Amino acid sequence: MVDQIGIGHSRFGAIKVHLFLMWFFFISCVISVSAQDILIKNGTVLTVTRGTLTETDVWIEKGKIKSVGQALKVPADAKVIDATGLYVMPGIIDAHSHIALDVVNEAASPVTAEVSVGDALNPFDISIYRALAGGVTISHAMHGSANAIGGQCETIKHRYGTHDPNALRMEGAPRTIKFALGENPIRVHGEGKKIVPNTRMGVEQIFRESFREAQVYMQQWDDFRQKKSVVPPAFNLRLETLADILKGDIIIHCHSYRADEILMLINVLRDFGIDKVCFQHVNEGFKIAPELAAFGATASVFADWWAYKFEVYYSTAYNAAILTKNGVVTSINSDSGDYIRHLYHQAGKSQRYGDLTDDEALALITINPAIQLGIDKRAGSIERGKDGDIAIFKGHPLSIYAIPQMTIVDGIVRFDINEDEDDMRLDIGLEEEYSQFMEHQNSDHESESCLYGVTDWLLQTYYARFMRFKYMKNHQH
Amino acid sequence: MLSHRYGHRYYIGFRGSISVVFSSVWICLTWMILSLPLGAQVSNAPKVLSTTYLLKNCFIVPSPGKLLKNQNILIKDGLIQEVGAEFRTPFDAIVVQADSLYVYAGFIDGYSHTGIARPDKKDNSKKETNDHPYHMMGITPHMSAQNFFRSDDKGVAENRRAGVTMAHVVPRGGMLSGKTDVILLGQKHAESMTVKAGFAQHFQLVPASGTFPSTFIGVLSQFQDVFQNAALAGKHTEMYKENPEGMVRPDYHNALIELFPTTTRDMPYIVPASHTRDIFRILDLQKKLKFKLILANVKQGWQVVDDLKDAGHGVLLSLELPEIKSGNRDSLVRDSSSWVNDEQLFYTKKDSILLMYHRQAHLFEKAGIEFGFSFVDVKADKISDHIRSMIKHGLTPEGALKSLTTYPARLFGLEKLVGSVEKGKLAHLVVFNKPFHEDEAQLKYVFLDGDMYKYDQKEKKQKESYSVKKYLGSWSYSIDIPGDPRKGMMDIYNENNVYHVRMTGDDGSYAAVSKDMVLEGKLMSFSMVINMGQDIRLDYRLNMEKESFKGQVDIENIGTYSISGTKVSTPD
Repeated sequence: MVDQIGIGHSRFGAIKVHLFLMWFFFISCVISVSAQDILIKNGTVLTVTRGTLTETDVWIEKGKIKSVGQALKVPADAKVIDATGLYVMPGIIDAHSHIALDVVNEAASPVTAEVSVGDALNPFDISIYRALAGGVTISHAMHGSANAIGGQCETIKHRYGTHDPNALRMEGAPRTIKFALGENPIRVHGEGKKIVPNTRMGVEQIFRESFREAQVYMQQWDDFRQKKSVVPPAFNLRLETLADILKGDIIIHCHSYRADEILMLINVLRDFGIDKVCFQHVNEGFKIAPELAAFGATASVFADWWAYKFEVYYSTAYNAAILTKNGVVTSINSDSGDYIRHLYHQAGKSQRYGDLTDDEALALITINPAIQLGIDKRAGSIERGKDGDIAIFKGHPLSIYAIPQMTIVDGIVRFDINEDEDDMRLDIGLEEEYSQFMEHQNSDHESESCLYGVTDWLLQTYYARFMRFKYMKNHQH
Repeated sequence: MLSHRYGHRYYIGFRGSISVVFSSVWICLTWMILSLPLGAQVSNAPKVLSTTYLLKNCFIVPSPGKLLKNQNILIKDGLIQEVGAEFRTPFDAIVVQADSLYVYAGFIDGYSHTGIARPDKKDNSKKETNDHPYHMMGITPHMSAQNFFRSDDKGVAENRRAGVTMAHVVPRGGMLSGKTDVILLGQKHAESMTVKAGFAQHFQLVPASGTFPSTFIGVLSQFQDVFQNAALAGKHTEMYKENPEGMVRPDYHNALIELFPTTTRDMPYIVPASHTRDIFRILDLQKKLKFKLILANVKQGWQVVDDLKDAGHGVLLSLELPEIKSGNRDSLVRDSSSWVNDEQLFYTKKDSILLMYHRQAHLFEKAGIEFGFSFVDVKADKISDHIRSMIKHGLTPEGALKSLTTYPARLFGLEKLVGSVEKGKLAHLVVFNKPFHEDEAQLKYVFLDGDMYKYDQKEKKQKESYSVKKYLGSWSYSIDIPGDPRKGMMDIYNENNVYHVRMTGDDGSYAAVSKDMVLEGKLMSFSMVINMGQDIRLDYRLNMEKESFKGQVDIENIGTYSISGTKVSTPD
């Protein structure tokens, strides 16, 4: 690499060469790491499923948790992390997110079961690193809620540093798909394109028609396979996927708010013999918690976020606690590249609103989302044999003073607060320029934010005068 | 548009003999010249009585890594008839004294839309009434590049002038835009210059507008759907041919029938995938469906070298490279040192990434992955610069030549026809004054399909520089932006034998240097990029007089304003 350095760079001379080397060194470190033996020593281990163990070690071997106990004996070459005075918890899981995706919605049809956001994974998204900085090791990268039956989602591991989108996939995780009720599909298709669904009734019919079509499709293929017909039916990836839902191979994650519609979907699923469903957002879940529990449906909610559209007004911060107390497997999700970094705060709110125990509150962001994604055998708690996904905190993670220190995914340290450079991007787009960050601040909404006046303060150089010139020109025409 | 320019040249030529009174007649004439059929386009290859050529006393690079000295080449009927040190000159041969010139096989463009004009926006809105849904989705595999190729498209001449004698042309359009053709970059009809028709199907992650698939994830799923159905429909049709009794009649479905050979690996897909993620996405799809794959227009391929190493796919790296433009950043005036320091860090990191684009070819060569080049995104006048930059960043000249000649010849199954300079092959030759990759190398001749194209860059350049000389020095200028006039200084200067224009704002707010300055008569045109938070392009067109100028400047996304100025000083 050294022989390439001098070329084309004279401006910053020696400094630049030095920085260049450093950066390359850093990136190659990120890329080349592989799972190693790690001993997390002498921490307070929040196992979530088996209580809290003080002065306990966690030994990770080949990416899996080998054992949990006191004063463990490990090979001499294991990397030792001193967790004295720190809290060690399972990697946090976000059951609803859209980070690391280049495309979220394929909104061209009210049913798009055939598409998969797993095809749009973006390992370069800095949001992955930010999530790691909040202790989150797994997220559920979801299709958007534009369609009654949206695309398939992808459960991803936050292996930041890889360039291969496929390396983000959590291999072996069950398939999941996005459904959506209420205003979003109605707005996009009914109001936007004057097609079904234009009402909540229409949404129900989309489900029923789609599943019926899939039943016919399955029958056609069964007939062909059993040689009852000679000519193969046409292949249809959309109906293939819907058939897989009917067969129970895909978990439905349904965007939902109102209690009446949630019951509607439960009825539809019951009619078609489908039982794997997690309701997302489910702001009125507290009204029908016993019904959800009885059906075996799970719920993934916001801690306290509502009133952003009409169907989301009837809400309460006690939602998570009420659902939990009624036996619904409940998680708290982010649905945001920002909230995902402090999901532990979101979980903590369930203690203020509903008095959940520490383990109940932590379960909202660990073992419960793992159950909802069908990955609870591998993630969501600190137990022997599970994946080596760990978050280490200074301060109890449910405390407002908690600070994440280190995040480990499959036995690889992906975030370390002591090696947290200012710029952790893996790639910089050809069009990106240094100044862009400040321009993003220069938005029309600045006067409403705590950054009011920041732009004027920044715009005091000649350089800035030019930005202002451009800005004024753009706004005159 | 180039043909228009040639028409214009003739206009000047004829002017003396045609009186102004007959100008209407003349307009008709111009119109006729412009609308002549393809074969009769006005070209820069002089029409001659013989198409037998003898190149005398040249260096030949018959294939990458080899060099023959003091050679003669005899070209007849568009073929290389003879190569050797001594042989008799046929009586009808046009002798080209090629002393110390270097002769190579013509370069082959692995993937481009050369010769296919961009569709007009009007055409886009035109939708057929009874379209098959596939058509709406951009699935038109029955179309082929030939249907759209025109040898009078300016790209053909431009690429030929860069030494490209043959191009693998892919149709523009949607996700499955059609079949590709390997076409010579001569001056005849597409049909008569097509060397290989229907070589591959073109697949790209281009969504449809107004219908599904509206995103690339939709395109990826739709592709799988079409692919599986093509396989099923193909089998159905075959069974039906064998014995139709009691069987449902298969649809005659054009798109599926055309795609059937791709499902049996008899025809490859060529797929542009510039960026790392796209490459991985296409590789993923290939693993699922097992089709024959040629990856084209690869730009960030250094991150997939390991995955491509033994995969056996065709690879075409993009010839387009980003500019590493540390220089432009000097144009910003700053007064906060800490800010500059952060900025340094940013650009250091960015430059190290830009550098990888230039090193890509080297890394592929090092990993033993053979590749050709995609010319689709590169401007013809940048081709040689970019090849040189790849060589500066580690690619061997032999490797570069392989990628331009022998590799694509083999990829397209044309190694018996083209790719090397040998007796019996097509006489597609490019002749340089120096080895092609050297800085001062200039293309002198192109032999293609029986025609000789002569290029004389040196004279032209001298002529141009002579006239720019008159305008060297400092000028004042003012741009009339209503309510906000801009004044400053304009310097026209020579640096390393290249002329530049530097514009400086009076308030010191910016300074920027021109790119691609051209002087045609008194019209000086150039462009520059000023960073005003984002790069803004300014295009200047100035009518130069001895002591003053007037003209216009287009400010990107803002408007067109008049500019004028006077000379302040002349250099010593």
